[in-house]
Amino acid sequence: MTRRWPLLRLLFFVLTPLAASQSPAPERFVRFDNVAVTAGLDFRHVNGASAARHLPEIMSGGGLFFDYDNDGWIDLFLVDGGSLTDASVAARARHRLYRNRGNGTFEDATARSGIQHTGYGMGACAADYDNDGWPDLYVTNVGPNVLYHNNGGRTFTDATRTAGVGSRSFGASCAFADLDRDGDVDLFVTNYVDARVDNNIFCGDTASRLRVYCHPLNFAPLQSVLYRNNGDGTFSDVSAAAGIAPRRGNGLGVVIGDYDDDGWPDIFVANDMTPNFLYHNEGRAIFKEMALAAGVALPIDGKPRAGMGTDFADYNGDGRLDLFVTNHELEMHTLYRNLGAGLFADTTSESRIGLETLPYVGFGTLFLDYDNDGDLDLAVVNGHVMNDSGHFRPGAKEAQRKLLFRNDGGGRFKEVGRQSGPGFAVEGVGRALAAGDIDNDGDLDLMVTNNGGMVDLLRNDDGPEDHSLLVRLQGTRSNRSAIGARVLLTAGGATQMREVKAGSSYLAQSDLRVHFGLGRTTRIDRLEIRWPDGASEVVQDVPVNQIVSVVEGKGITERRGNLGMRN
Amino acid sequence: MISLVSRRLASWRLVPGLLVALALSVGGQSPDPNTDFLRALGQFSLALDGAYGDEGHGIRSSLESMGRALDRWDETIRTAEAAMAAAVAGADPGPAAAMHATLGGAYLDRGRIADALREFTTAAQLDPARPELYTLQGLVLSQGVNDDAAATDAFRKAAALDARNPVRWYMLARQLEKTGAAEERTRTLQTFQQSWDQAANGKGRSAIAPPFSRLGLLQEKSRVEPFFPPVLYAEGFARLQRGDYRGAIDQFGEAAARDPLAAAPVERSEAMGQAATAIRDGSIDAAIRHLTVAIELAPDRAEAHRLLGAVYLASQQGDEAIGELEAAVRLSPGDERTHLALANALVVTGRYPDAERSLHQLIAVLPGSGRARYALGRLYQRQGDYENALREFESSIAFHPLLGLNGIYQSMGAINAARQHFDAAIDAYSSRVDVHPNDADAHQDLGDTYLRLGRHDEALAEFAMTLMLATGRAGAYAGMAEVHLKEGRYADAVEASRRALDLDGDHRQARYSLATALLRLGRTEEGQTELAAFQRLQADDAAARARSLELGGLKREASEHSANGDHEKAVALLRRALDLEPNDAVSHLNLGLALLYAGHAADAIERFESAVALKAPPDVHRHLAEAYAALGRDEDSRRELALYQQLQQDSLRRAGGNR
Repeated sequence: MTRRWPLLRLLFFVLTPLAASQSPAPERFVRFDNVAVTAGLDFRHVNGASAARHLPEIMSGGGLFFDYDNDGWIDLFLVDGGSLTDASVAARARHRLYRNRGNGTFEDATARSGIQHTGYGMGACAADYDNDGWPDLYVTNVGPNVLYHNNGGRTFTDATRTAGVGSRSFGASCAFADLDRDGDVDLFVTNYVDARVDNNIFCGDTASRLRVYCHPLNFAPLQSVLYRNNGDGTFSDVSAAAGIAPRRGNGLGVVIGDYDDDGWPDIFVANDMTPNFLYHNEGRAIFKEMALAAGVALPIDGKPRAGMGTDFADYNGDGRLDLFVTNHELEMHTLYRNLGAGLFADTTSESRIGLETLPYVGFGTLFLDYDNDGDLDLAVVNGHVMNDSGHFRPGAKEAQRKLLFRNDGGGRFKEVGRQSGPGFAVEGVGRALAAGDIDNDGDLDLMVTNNGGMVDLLRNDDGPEDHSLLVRLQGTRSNRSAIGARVLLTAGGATQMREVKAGSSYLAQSDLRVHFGLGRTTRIDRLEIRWPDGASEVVQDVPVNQIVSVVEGKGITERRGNLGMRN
Repeated sequence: MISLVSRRLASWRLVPGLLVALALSVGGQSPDPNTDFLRALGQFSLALDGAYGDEGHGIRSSLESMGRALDRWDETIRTAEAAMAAAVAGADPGPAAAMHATLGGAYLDRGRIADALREFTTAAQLDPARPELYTLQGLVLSQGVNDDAAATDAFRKAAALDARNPVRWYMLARQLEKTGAAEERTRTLQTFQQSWDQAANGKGRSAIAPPFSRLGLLQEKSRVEPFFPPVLYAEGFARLQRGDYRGAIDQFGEAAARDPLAAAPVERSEAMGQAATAIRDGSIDAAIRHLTVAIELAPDRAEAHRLLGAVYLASQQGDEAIGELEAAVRLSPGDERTHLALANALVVTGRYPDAERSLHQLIAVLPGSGRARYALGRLYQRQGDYENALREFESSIAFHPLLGLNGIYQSMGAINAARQHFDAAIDAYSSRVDVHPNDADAHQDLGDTYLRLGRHDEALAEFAMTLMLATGRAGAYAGMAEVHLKEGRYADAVEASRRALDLDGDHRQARYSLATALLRLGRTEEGQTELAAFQRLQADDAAARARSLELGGLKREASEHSANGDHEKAVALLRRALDLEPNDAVSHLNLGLALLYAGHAADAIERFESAVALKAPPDVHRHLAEAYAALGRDEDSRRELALYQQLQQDSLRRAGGNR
């Protein structure tokens, strides 16, 4: 939505005391509209669903927001699946790169980008791995993954072989982060299960000849892969040396964040029906798996869940990264509150999230301040994994609605998806979910992929007229994309914390720019950036309703305010 | 099953002299008249099934027994009334109250609710410090006369007088749930928990005798199929439930006169009698022969067709069974028993739509058939049509099953929980606790559902109640530990987890809760040790799961190949399955079959013999007979076939005996 600031509104803010922002507000709802078609997104995911019921067919559908041409408008990359059984179907699959024109529409830039569809696509993540100023792209596949080098914002070149990152397993989510803090981003890739085409057993009812997709425990779990960036355009597989390789789990989602505030980024992997992994960074990218001790391997009842998507963020404003994991229906998605000292508590029930999520098979998820009120809310997209879900549980559907949990303070959330406009009402077989401000109007929009279906672009419309700030970071000593930077914003007596993440949710990545909702607060007291290399930088006098660029060591280098759409 | 009220009161010390007289009515020794009455009622109810066709005599004689027992029962009460009238005049208030209470208990068993309430009230006036009197008043007021406000008051008094007894607080809390007094209920639940903690710590944790009473002739039992009164006898059973026992016997007699099962012997052929004997002996062939003769003699008599259908079904001749039962329905379209037998045969043979149609026809003819409603509910449940299943179960409850109501509520609770309709699940599980309050499983299921909903006080109360009824429930302690963990009461979580683990050292959830609580308390070393133990359990689970999945996959694939006629591949897969699970009788049997169909009869025999040694189902002998025949060993084949038929007969006889 485009912001205008009429005089009356300005007067209102000047005359309204700060305390007013703390008084109970009437219940408001934000409207999301699915503008995918009008915006020019004509992508329909090819899942290649076949009678052979290959597991990737129900798991694929990644996508991400990134500003690949550095024009200040975030673009969109969508991963297509393919077919494991039918070459003619596979030939229809095509990844898509959509360039944001800045006027509410996107153009399909795939053909001229050089991005090709190979194998069977799953997910993606993006970061500037060679610090040349242009974000590069990594695509996970069933089969060899692909790294695309960004050639100055116009084209991409397949750099997989040179870089040495072509893991040939059943890749799922990926994330970039500078795990050894040497100034360039490393790459972590989750692998799922050994469901190769020649290892596809029959699952279902032989008597009625009903074949279904197999439960993941029918297959052997796989190990995740950690690639260390050598700083010369190449990577080394350091999974074994770093302590990752010995662990095998049914890895799907991944998120990287410094949960114990020791300055070293840690890795959380959501595993499907096996205990989750929390790789604590002991320093210099040597990891120790700590999930069980930390209390995030399993929910409170000690039973493994179908971990799918995940995100780290500080939802309760205590300065510590909390964790959310989406799970299968009848399990509840799980919210873990960070207690400090490396411990988490399962707060799913008391947060009021648990019951609401019971009927859904959750995939993509993220914390976001969709209503710009200054606290982090939670969005989840859902979609079944059974081709005939009603056969197994009456009332269950493949296409499921999305969930939007509004943070009501006190550690509690309220599900408001049904009140959040037609975009949220759309049911789909949801997989990836990413957030970003596509129209630079200060509120966060959402991208949702649907397995075998059209992509949704949920534009945040008619929202509350609260203030916000977008911060674009650029590292100099730290990695150029500033992945892992922690940003602390103090305003109205409260401090909000964000970390820059390149990869989270499920097969997805959100806008690298950090978004803060500010409510009615018109003054930002302090903006502190803790750069990945450990240095801290404080920026004063930051205006609200701006997109500011901060370059490491140089402070704010650019401000863009009152941005409207380009025509 | 007998009402507990009298027995509980009988343990109260009474004044000499009166004790002897009252003991006659309430002492509980067998044979006493109320036990005799119930025994006769039980025989009568079972006979109504008509499994053998010759139950007419049993029906009539059990009705006579009921009448005689009821005469004696009333006589003993009159004796007790007279004895008490003489003794109570000069008695001190305490003994006098005991006499009134005991007589009240006798009235309660006899279904005389108003008289019972009067006696309990008098007793309470004489001795107002006795909490059990108020509890009894509360029971009568809530269950007998539906005066919830007065009942709540009575339970309140009982709890106040006996504050250390958790059962009194629990009963008050449940009563408060009915009246919607939420705040007082929460306080009461917390008091219950405190008193439970104190009682448990003081006494150790031995289970107490069933602490709850329900009004009515029969107490619920767990895991029994509901018994719905047949429509023909429904009015009699309704009178029974209203306490009008004599009116019930009269109606039963009138109904029996219209029941073809209870027809006079002169109306029944000799062949029918011989058939009944054959069925009791499990002689299928003889039963079929005699029933065929009976049908030839009187082709328009539905009973012979019904019984022949039942025998065919027992001998796995589904189509023949259905044919006979359809004939019986045509001849006697208003007979509930026949309709139900047909529906059952259709279900057994997998003809679900026909079964559904048949049950709907029965309901159209006899709308008062609770059995039909329940059967329809089960049929829908079997097909995964849970919405209709719930509707039919709900309908069936209106027909007042004499026993087994708790099972219906259990099904409704489980279905609702699976559909994530947790409020409805709580309603159903709560009703289950109401009708069968002494069932630990009912409390555990309700507690688990409360826990899932985050209703922690209520969950704790139900887990505590579970443990009062069955001390060995590790799951209830584990549930408590989870509540404490969620509430941040880590020390309590440690204690509850440890108690669960004392009962079941392999309880995963308890081990995990213990480890987590210890870590939260900063007892890192202990926590890590527990985590390591938990991980070992998890590793065991993972290995077992992997093995089970692999086995399942192998068996499914083998079945797939067999269905496609590729028996050699099936053989190879089943051999691999047996490597993983060498003592699985069914896999031996299936491998034998695959070998037989692949033309390896000798190898098949070896596998079948292994299956026999592992107690495979009787079918294995039929297949052995086939294998021997394939090898030309006719004598062995005949022997195995005879053995198979003998086992079938035994099975039929057992089925009859178990009715």
